[in-house]
Amino acid sequence: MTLRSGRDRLPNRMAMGAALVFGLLGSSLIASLILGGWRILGEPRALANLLSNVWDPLAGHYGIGPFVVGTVVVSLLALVVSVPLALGTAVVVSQSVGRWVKESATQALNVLTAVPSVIFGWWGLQMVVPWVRTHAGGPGFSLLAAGLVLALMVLPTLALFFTQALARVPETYREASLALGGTPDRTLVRVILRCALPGLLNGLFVGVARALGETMAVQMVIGGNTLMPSGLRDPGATLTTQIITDMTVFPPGTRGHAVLDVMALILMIGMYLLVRLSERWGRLS
Amino acid sequence: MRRGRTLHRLAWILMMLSAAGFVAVLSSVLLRGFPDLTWPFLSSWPNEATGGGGILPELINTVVMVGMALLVTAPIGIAVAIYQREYRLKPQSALQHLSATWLAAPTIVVALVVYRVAVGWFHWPVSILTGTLALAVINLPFMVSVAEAAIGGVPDSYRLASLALGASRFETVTRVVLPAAASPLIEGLGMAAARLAGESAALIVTAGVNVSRHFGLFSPGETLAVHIWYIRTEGVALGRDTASAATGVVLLILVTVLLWISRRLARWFE
Amino acid sequence: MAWMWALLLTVLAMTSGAVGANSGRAHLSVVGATSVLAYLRRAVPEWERNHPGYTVSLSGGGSVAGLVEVSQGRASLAVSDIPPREEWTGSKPLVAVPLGRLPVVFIVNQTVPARAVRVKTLRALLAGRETTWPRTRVPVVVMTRPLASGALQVVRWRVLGGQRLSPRAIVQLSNGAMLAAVRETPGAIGFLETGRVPAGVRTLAIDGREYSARSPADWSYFSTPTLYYRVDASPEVRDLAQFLASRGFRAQYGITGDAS
Repeated sequence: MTLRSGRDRLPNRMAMGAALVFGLLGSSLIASLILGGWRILGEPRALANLLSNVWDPLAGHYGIGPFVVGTVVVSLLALVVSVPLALGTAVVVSQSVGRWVKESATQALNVLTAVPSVIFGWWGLQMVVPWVRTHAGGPGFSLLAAGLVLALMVLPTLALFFTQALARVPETYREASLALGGTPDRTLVRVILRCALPGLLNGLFVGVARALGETMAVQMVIGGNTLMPSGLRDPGATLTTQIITDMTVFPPGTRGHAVLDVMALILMIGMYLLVRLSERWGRLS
Repeated sequence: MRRGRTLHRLAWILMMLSAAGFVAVLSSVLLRGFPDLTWPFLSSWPNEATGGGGILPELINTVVMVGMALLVTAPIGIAVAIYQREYRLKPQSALQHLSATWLAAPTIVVALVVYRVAVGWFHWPVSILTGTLALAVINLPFMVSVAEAAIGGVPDSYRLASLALGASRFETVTRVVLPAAASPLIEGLGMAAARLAGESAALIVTAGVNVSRHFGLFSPGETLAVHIWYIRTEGVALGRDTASAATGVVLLILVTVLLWISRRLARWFE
Repeated sequence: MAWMWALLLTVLAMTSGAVGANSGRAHLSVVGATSVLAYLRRAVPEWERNHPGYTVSLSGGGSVAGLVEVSQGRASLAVSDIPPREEWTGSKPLVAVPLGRLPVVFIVNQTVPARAVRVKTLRALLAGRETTWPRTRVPVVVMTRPLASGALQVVRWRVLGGQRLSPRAIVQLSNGAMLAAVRETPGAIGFLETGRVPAGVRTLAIDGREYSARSPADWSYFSTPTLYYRVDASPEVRDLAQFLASRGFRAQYGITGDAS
């Protein structure tokens, strides 16, 4: 399929132009973060400062360790809770008999992925924070509360991707396994889940990306504490919540803003790694 | 067939648990918000002093900002997808990596960059226009991925038939591929609109947390999602929780209606 | 494709129309702290009525954003709880017009046994040196505001003498979030910028003095929201600032007296 016709030259150029604009915009997004963060990264002993655990930006201490830990812990907690739930939901939906059930369940999940994050945050303030306070102790605003709210937030996304992955396994595989005497459970674990593994991993990576990037719902319930948390009951902060908390005090051009750029850059590097990982292991066959 | 179904039973329990979680979230908003959902609430202006009042300007801002962002990004997104799928023999992988990373970017990171560029360099105020720009940057990679999926779903035999009949690439794209991909495209547009309507973090810093008495592109533009957050967190009045919940109900209805309409339209194009 | 371009052109035309309409009339903008937004919201329309042909837009965004925008010429007037720092204004001189005093009240959860404390105890509580309420075992939960908050500056400099608040303190993004969090968390203490004693929480008397809306002059903790404009500002901007700083009904919003 080559481009022979002369009539194709202009549209081809236009599409190429759009792709060029898109590429330039995307790369300048990243470039702007590097440019902004360079002020800190170019300083002597910048890494020692950034990797420490002391956050006191007005005094020049920019340790982002607690936020990196907060991001990782909250996302991990959210996934540990939501992956089994999503997998269970996906198994039930994909193995349900009626086509109507499948269709409407998929639609419901689709709507749920679009529920705004402030609504989850609002619910978190009302139900999760008091629950954590009475059952786990502490002030209630905590990594635990943030993880639970986030778990429910990424659940529809995960379930949707898992359902699609399971639906892609040919029905004949299942029938063959059952005909050979495999129990339904064995068929599920050894045939269906194994065949759907790349799709499942792909969904998992999308879920991780959503969890890492969520801002508002987490900010409302995590407490915003800048100390290194020592347990799940402790309040903390994530990279995204700290950016929104401190953005108003550091206008662009100040040293503090450069640190926010570095935090954003770390998040973007994480996202890029996820994209590469999902390409490596989550390739859809 | 009764043996070996333990895992399936477990799956049922897990699904019920997830369903219970969503029922808890949605019902806590719906039950609190519905009683306050009156016509005056929808058609009057907010009142910061009491945390009450209506949400008309927020509703208008949401529709205007999401609409403008979609108008700008949809043509570009579709054009990029056409370039990747129709004019290149193999989609360019650098562009794909960029697109996927950009799609995964946290919205607050996008806001950080848009704030520096629009407010810092262009000297735009924190306003509807800046917020729309942020929404457009958030939506662009989503549009590309939606359009790529839609166009990629059109069977190759359609293209081959069209080319064999003497049509140019461009004619094939506009007369054959795009009409065949219209249904998923429209559904994707609805999904994008719903996603943007729920955005809050990026808009708090780029579009502001209040509305102006004078509508204009350079006046502050609080949206429904931001309003929920703002009256829940800034107001000191007693009625703020129900006002916030009622706004939440409006936003949920808006999102559901957007998805429903786009699905209906998509069916019609099938 | 043609319809798409037509739509795009229409939107562009509408855009330029909107911008043109704005620039046809004189347009002023006020940006800054949200703590006095409710007051400004009522005062600004009055000024607009006296000055036909002028429109004023109001937006929040915080004290720092206001200072930055005014010193860079994007906004006419800034509202700020905190004094300008050089890194925000680029050392451009600004003219300050104080609005008055806005009380900063210390609030505690209903379960807290104490109703009055000495300032020394308050200092220990806020700095995190005292981890339980005096003579009880109820743990103290300190709530604070982000660094950009004017109320935090007042607490830090007027109560703690420049020390930092407890590093264990929980950060609430806004005044209202602070109130809700203190109301719902047992053992919590926090501070609010407000002229009214809020419902659902208790206020703390400090050194025997209690805040009351009737005699605000007795209370010694307050922030000083101030309007700032550039030295080369137009007469209308100066007039607007003077107008806003002299309305009698400021008191209804908790702003009293002269800032000093």
